[in-house]
This record gives sequence, C-alpha cells and structure tokens, in this order.
Amino acid sequence: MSGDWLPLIDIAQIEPGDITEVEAHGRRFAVYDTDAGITVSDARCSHAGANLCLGYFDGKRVECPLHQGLFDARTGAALAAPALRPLKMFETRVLGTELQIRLTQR
Amino acid sequence: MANQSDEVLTPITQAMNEGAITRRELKRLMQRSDRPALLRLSLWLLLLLCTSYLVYVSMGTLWLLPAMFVHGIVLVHHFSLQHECIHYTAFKTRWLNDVVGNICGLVIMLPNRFFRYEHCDHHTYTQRHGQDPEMITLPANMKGYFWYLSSVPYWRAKLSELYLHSVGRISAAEKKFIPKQERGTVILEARLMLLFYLGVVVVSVVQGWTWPLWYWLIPVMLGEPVMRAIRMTEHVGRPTVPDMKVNTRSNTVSLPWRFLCWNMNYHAAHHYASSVPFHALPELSEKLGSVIHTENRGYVGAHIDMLRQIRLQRVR
Repeated sequence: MSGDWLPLIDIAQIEPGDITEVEAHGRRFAVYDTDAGITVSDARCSHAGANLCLGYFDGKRVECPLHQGLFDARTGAALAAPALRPLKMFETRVLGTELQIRLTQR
Repeated sequence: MANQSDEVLTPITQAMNEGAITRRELKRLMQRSDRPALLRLSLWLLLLLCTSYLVYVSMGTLWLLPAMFVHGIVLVHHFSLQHECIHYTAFKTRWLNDVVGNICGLVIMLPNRFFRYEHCDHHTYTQRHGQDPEMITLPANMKGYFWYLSSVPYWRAKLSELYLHSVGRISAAEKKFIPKQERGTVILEARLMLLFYLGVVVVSVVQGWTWPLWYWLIPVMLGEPVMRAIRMTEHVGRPTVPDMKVNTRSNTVSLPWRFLCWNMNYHAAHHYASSVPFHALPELSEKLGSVIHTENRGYVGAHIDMLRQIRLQRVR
C-alpha cells in the first residue's frame, strides 16, 4: 500500500516560506515551502538524525540544527559536509485543499 | 556519528518541547547576515594592526615580551572566529566561512575541515567520556591543572595530529567522526598546511626574515595558555552527563572579551542552538535564561569553581 496517495496536511496549515513539521502515518515529515513549490522530506537529517524542522531554511536550502550540514530542500541533495547522503524525499500532490504524499521515496 | 536511523533529541528540540523558545523566535534568531561579521572583522584587523604596532615599538626593549603576549591573546582568538566559521554562522555567504575559517586555521595550526568533523561529535556527545573528542577532563590535581594551562599537552597533540594526518594516518578514534569519503580531504588538508609552514620557513631563511617569529609564532605560543584557560571554562568541572542544562557553562564576561571570543562566552546557549549566529547569541542566552548554567563571575569564577573541585577530589 506504500504507493498510495496519503493525506499529509491541509495547505492552509503550511507555514509560508518556512518548514512545517508534520507527524503522520507513523513518521515525522518536514514540509518545505520552497521557492520552487512545496516539497516533503523525512524530518530526520541523513547524517545524525537531528530534526531538520528546527534548522535554518532560506527558501532553497535547509541546514541541520545540530551540525549545520546542508541540503537542497527542493531535491534533497546533500550540499555540504557533514551531510553526505541525500534526504529521503517524497512525491507530493495537491488534492483540493489537501497536500498528499506517496510513501515510496521519490 | 550517531545512529543513522534514530532521531537525535537535540538540545534545541528539548528547549522547544519545554517551551523555553518557540519555532518563530528560533527562526528569527537563526537569520544570517554578512554585515555583523564583516564589521567585527574590520575591527579585528584594526586591533591586530594595533597589537602588531605594540610589538614593533617594543623591539629591543623589556616591553617586547608583554607586547607579544598581548598580541598573542588576539592571535589565539582566531580560534573563536574559526569556530564560528565551521558552524557557518559567522557569515551568511557560506563560502566566506570556508575561506576565513581556513585562514584562521593557518594562523593557529588547526586544519579547518578536520576541526569541523571533530567539532560535530563534540556537539553530539558533549561531555561524554570516550565519545566527545574535544573533552577536557577535570585535572586530578594542581600539577595537572597547570600542565594543561602550559599548553604543552595541547601543542604536542596538535603537532602529532598534523604529522600523522599528513602521512595518511587517521586514528581509530578519528575514524568515528571522519567519514570514509572525507579522509582523503583531511589528509590533503594536513599536507597543504605543513607545506604552507614549510614555505614560510624556507622563505624566511632565504630572505633573512625574523618577523614571523616576533609577530606570529612566539605570540601564538605566549597567548595559547590564555586560550586553554578560556576553553576550560566551557565544560571543565561541569557534570559529565548528556544533559545540556548542566554540562556546559556560559560565562558573563566584559565587552572586550566578548569581542575577542565572538560571543562564545554564551557557550551553553551556543550548544542549545548551534545554528544561531554569534551576534544573536546574547538574545538567545537571555531567552533560555534559567534553563542554562551561567557563571556570573566570568572566566575567573569558572576557574575558582574548577580549583574548588580539584581540591575536593584531593580531599576524597
């Protein structure tokens, strides 16, 4: 069933220009309002597991709050040490007022 | 490195869970800017010029040693700027942090990329024996206290670290925090650093220069005990437990010291939220208030506390 579209958050609840933390479907997600649209990743940093929702976000890139590793919030690419592995990103779509995701990694 | 699959409860997550700070406040405090660092860096260079001039006018007099000591105190504080740079919180422009961090590293012989990785684990495992690679243990006695302050153990460790990295050897302890893909970079960095120092020596001999000694090397050696004393105030004597409320010490110090250490006297606040740049640390520290441990008597008070604990150890 992991390929099904699952409801994540109402669009109106997403913090404009920021990261919104969502707990759903037994895991924690980071919803980014990027300059290229809404993207969703696993909330855990791929380096040491810190919560990226508390990191510095400039609309394009998210920085881990613990070690300042850098990721592209639009693609999940690891941009700077100590982040070496990309973030787990999820496919999204908007249905009505709801943001939905597919749990299979993008 | 921490377990890749588990989420780490960072100090800032803890502070937010406890209501000490909100996401909105944190977001505002995390905002980066090049301006404060460029302004401070201009004053920094001006100060370096002044202390260098002190050395210059003291040449051939008994004032040379005190002048080099004062100049050295400023030079060793390149550590504080480099520390800010490896957190990418000095400048908004990320590459500026890399450039300035590497220059600072050359001044005080601290390879920037290696320091970055080592420091990551210091933040993950603060004050945990065998896991915090920067942990300074409370000296067992007064001899140990003064031995550490002499900086002899520090320089011995740094020189051997640099040599071993330059010959391609990374210790088992270092392999824990330097990922495999990055070991080559750490080795290359050590080689380039040694090459730079060798270049300075060769050019100085050929040109008959002695100024690197008077304006750089001797002052750094003279100033390092001051930096050792300051580094000790950050954690030494605090409980060796993971709880950030108690394992780190902030120190209330005067403006000149705050300027020199790039506000790193707010050390407990920095550990709570290391993404907050130096210029916002006083406000973060105020917000965290009683959540963190602050030594209001400053660096001297922290050392009084350490000495008291060393005496108590001896009594036991």
